[in-house]
Amino acid sequence: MAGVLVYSDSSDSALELVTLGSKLGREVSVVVLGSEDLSDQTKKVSVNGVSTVYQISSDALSNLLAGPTVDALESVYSRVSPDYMFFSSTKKGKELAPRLAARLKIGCITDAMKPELNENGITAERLVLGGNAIATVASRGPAVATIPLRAFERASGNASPNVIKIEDFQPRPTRTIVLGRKEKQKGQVNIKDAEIIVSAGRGFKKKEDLAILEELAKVLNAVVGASRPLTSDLGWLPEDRQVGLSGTTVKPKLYIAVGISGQIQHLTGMRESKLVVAINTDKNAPIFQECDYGIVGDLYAIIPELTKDLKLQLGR
Amino acid sequence: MTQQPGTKEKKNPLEIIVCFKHVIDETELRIDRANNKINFEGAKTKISDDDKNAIEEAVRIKEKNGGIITVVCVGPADAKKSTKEALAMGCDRARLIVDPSFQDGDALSTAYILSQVVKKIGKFDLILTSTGTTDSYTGIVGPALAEYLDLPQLTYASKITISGNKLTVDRALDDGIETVECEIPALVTVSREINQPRFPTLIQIMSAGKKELLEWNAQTLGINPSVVGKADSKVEVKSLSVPKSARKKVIFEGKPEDAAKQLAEALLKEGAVK
Repeated sequence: MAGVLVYSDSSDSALELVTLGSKLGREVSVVVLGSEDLSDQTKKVSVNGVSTVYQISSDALSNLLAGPTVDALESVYSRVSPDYMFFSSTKKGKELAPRLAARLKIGCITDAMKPELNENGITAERLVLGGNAIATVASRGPAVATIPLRAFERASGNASPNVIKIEDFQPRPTRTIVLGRKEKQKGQVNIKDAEIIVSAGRGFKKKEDLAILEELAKVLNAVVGASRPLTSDLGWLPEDRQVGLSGTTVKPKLYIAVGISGQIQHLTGMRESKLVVAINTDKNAPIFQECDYGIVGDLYAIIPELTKDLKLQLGR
Repeated sequence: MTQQPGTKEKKNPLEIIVCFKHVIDETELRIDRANNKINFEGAKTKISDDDKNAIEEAVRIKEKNGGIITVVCVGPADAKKSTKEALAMGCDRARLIVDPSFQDGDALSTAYILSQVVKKIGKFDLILTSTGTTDSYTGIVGPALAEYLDLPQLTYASKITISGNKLTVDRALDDGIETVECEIPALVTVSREINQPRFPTLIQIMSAGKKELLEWNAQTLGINPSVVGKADSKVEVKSLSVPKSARKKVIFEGKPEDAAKQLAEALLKEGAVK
């Protein structure tokens, strides 16, 4: 029985993929790539359930650009001949998986939820039509899949897998170079790991009005997120605050959607939240089908009241 | 085959190919929750939202650098409406690819068909696609098309600059912005934030009808129907269902101050705020 191969641009996410591989009852091999010494990365993924770690260190992999990275993954894949290969649904994972699949002439399932093995391949669920529907999809044979972040716990434990260094890696010539990188500023909001998120939608009439939501966020130690129109179309908040299918998938303990109607594109990004609160004027808004608590009413009247009440109750 | 860098005469206009998908407007779908069904009857269609950003970007690049834009759509016959819209937005000519054997294929199959379309078009410097389409959002077509054409892929572009043969792209990645450069030809997938698509004027809509719109099929492209569409798909859609929600759905109405108070109490009781 051939195993599964996993790769992620983050070691933590790779550990989630290891858990998935073990759950499927397969032998799991992990690929680590880079341009320097890979022993730290290798150590991080040397956890229970991992049988082999494949390392490729090459100057061509210093920026993990798609071209050389796919070349490297292809070389490991052809050596291991796994049945399945899993990536994280990070932006990098989602640009690598399709290209590798096209090269290997095997199936590709992105954002695969509840992946399971069937007789011939993988079955998984995908949110489609803006999240209005769940498509059950199946591969006919070997496939690569990208798995949403935090869908599985991280594998743990200290294990001693085989470590195989691939020395003869030859990337195809590439014409792409990295000129620079602007990391997200330190201390900048990270909605992905936030415990409480208050999100703004089109119910806000102008950018300045977001101040009332920031007040509420301050009282709750929450971060402010937004729906796509506010980030992509209006630019009121940076793109990294966008919750949704084309933004970030979040899983906070509390999610408060304010003035968000609940386009499924948005719901998709927050439906794993533990508790969901919705505030909207339109009682028929889809968000009310997806909330635990809701208020039908004017956010401009409600938010200051809610902030005042919570401030009092929480003693802030 | 793709051109090699350097073979392009500098004076030649920039040749841009932009791909889009004609999709069901997911915001207007009627969902029959009781019967776990989606009602597709009379569903509206549109150019996929993110693909509009790709079309808009193609037009902006042309406005700045000059050039010719060929817009390509693989889809059903009624995609003609969307194709005309793309022409009205500023594309110069269109190739609408319709063939029964192309139906119900997976995204890799679509990418393969597009690669054959690009080869038939022949000359190009830049291919633009979106990062994903609003119907299925697989994000597969861009990278797979780049693979089939052996092109560099510059994904998640939030800014594109072309100067001579040099293409510079800001990529909006998970942890920041990466600026990359390569020589054309290349394939770029655009992020939503790259621009605001324009609304064509009435004059533009009228004149779109006069632009070249060719319909191609499997035969025109020399594609064997057994290697595309459902026949060759490596991933199949088995069923569609309506997501179920297990939320409490406790709704407070009435005066803002009362509703807010009830909500605050509920949140405290849940232990959701501390």
